[in-house]
Amino acid sequence: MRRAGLGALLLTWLYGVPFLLVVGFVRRTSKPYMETHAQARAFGATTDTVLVTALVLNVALPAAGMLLAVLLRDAAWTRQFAWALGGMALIYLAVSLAADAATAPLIGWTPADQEPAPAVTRCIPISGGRGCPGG
Amino acid sequence: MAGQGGSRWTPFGLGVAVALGWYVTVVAAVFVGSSGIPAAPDRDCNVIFSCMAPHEELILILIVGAPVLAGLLVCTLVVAGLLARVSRSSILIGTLSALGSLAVVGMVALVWQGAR
Repeated sequence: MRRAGLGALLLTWLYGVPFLLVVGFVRRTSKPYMETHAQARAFGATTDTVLVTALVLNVALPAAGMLLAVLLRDAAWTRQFAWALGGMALIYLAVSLAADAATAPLIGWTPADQEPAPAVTRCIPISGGRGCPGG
Repeated sequence: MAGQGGSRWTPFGLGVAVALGWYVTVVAAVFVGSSGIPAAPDRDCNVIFSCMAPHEELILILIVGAPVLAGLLVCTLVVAGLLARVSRSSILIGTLSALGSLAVVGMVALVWQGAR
């Protein structure tokens, strides 16, 4: 039971974090077609959520596993999660290299959208809506 | 798990399983990531294969890339076999053999491109 729990924690870290990172990188490097600015912002926010979740889980899962293994006094699993902490550092290194390779920030990026800039040339009064100054 | 595997799993066998897990994970992640990206509605779709859905692309890549995939698997087995003599950790064996096989297949592809 204990081994199964710790094993699930390790496997979730091993495959789950790279999975989320790849999903995030694919979205981040894509050129999605976005009708409006709001859609583009929502797309960027989802990408950020995926990437941030991956980065948080990258530290949370090995740390939790290490803590549990130490509390359970399981030497083999403690060693296993110590290696996982090394892998965590490698993943952070790889992500920071990828982040440095781009000029735009990795997290907090909004794709371009097709919404035309509103061209306000003159005030048109709308009945029951808005009035115009001086008219 | 690694290094203290059960009676049936050797570090080599478990390492190959870890490597296969990597391939499945990466393919699944690219598929999930690319299927969430909206495409422009006014694309020119006259050319064949120019406007494919992500799952169609995946199937096509799996068919066309089958020889590459087979080479990747053979390479993974060889590298995992070599690494299993050095290391007892199946996760290390699997991860390094997946990375090493990708590097080998990538280099072969580059040489192939250069030779043509």
